Amino acid sequence: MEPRLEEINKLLINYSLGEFDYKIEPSEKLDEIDAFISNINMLGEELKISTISRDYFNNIFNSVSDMLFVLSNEGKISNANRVVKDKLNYTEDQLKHNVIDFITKQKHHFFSHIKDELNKNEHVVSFDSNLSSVNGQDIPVNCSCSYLYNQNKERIGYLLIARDQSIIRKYEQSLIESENKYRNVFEKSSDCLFIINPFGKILDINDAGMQLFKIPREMLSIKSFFELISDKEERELFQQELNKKEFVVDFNLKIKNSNEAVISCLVSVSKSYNQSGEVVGYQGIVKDMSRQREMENILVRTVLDTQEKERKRIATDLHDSLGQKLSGIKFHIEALKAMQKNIKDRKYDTILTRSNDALNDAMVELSNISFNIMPGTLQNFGLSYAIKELCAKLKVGSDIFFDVTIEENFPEIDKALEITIFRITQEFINNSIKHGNASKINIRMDTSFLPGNISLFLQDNGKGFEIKRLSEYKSMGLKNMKSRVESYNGTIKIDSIQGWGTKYEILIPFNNNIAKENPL
Amino acid sequence: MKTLKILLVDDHKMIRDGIKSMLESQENKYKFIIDEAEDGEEGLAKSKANPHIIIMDYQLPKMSGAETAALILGSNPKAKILALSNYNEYMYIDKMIKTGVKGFILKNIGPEELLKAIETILNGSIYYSSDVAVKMMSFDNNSAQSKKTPKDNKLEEILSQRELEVLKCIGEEYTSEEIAKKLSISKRTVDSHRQNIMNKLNVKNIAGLVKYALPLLAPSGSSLG
Repeated sequence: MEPRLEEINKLLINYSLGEFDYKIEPSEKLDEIDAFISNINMLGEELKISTISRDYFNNIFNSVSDMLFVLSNEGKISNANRVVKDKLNYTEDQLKHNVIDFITKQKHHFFSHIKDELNKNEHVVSFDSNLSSVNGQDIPVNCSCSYLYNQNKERIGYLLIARDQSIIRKYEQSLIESENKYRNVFEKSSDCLFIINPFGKILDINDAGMQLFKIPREMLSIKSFFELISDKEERELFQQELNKKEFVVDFNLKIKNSNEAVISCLVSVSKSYNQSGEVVGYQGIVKDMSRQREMENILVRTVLDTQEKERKRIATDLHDSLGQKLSGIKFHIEALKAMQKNIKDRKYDTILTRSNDALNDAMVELSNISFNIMPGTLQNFGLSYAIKELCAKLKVGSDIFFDVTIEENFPEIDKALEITIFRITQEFINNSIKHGNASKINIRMDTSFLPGNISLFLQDNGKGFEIKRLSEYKSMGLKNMKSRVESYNGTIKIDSIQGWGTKYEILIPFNNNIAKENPL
Repeated sequence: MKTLKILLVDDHKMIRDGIKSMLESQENKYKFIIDEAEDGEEGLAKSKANPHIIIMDYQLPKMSGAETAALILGSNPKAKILALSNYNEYMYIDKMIKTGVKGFILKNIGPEELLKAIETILNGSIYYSSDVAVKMMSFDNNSAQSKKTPKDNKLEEILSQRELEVLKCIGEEYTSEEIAKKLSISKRTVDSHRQNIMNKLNVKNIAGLVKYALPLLAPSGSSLG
């Protein structure tokens, strides 16, 4: 060790014993240590000059907030400050001349521990322990202990400083508890909770999240949260929102897990910042909505199904009851008209012709209404014939060109799904003719595009509409179409260019289980 | 004056009455003897009296018009049937025509056209009312037709649903009476079905029928192969 530092050490010990005469000779190096030495020499002078009474020391001894003990070489308490008496409630008599061990928890080992540690050539030993009060209460303390020397530099005992740690411990304890509590909430939440960095790298995720995403732990660090969002448009929209806003609440996302299953979720995310205000990541929650969505889908399907059954009943009634009666009446009038012809009375003939024409109009209208409500072909011969029938009906007396391609041997599917697909086609064609003024309509339907799915492609050359307005789904027809498709876990993609036409691409899984799973 | 024996098969009395009115308005041309049936079975039974023409609705209770027409034509291929329907949808027309009926008119025609249809058919031709003809032309049925390619000679393609049921019952050793009871049709209808199945499958006796019936009985997945 640098000899000057040893000197400084000795000097400080002397100072602590009230011995201020000792001086250190600075070297000739005139470095920082020398500068310190001259300062400390000056301090010694000042201390020597100032009148320091014993009371003054007592004052200090008693006014510090830590417990101070002066111990003899045998570990007996020779002095203790007021704090000791306050905290531990011992009287001066109870304390004095007893080995310090009796107020410690360890009873025997406390003093021997101090001796052992100081023997290892340490100037100060520092450790955590507990002191017991008169009524047995334990006070956690942080102890520091050093030798005391007399003027002849003989050891006369020890100075023990014990700092009460109970308040700090309490804070620490509650900190740990609240940390555990939050950790518990984080881990045990049934919703997925996650923390990601600004690039989406998953930093932490709870068990619910692991189960939802089905990501193996070891894969976590290389996965990006944003990659899990299956729909590209949704992902971009979500990231834009995140950049723009402080937090995003209940954002609808479809998340694809490692098993390639697509789960509809509600995602809420907020930003976390570091001290300099930079975004260091996001914390968020993912709610699995698939079960709720499925219930909603069942509800939508049930409502639609009930509606369609009622429509079928009305259509059948109209067609088979009212329609037959009108036909019967018409036959009678026709007969009368034919017989009237022989008599050749023009007045009666005109009236009969008029009533015949009126009846004819009524019958045509009835037939159209009942077809629109529920086509007999759809009920009796299935979807592909019903779509063809629809086109054939509209083709008559109009300039519209229909290009209909339906896969050969189109499979038999659930009747309710057939009706759904028919309604979508019907709605599309209606829009094309009524709003789009289209002259050409393409319809393609097959099951080869994606196995297990019906792909329906509808396209017209009509006026088209602004796609932005569409995202708001203000149009009732489009909204209905979307909810119909989604109730079968299908997807609908709508594309429209003003002046060029409109295109729908629809994919609907057609496993017939959907109808069977319906618990309602 | 020439006499025409006509059988009307329609479950709606108003329709039968209406047609009778229309025919009555044409009595200066023909003498009409009109018989009526309310459903397919009655129609099938009354067709044995060999009317000149049978006017038949598509939508009938118990047994559809197409089914009845097929049965009548199965036992008497020379029978002349004019289909009459409220439905001008293509598949109804197609279904009827495939059974071998000679004409298809809608329930909005007048007496002159009705008589024209009857006369055309009696002259050995085929008659469709104009709406029906337009529908047959406008219906884009490319794939629907190619669906029934000759290579698809499955039993289901050759026989009607009802015929399949009857064939299955025969395989299960039911008697004609039992089949009639089971399917809620008359014994005579069952016999007609059986004869038609034998004609269609080109077999001579019950043993031949059973050969076809057995695969229908095997539970799916463990059929003869």
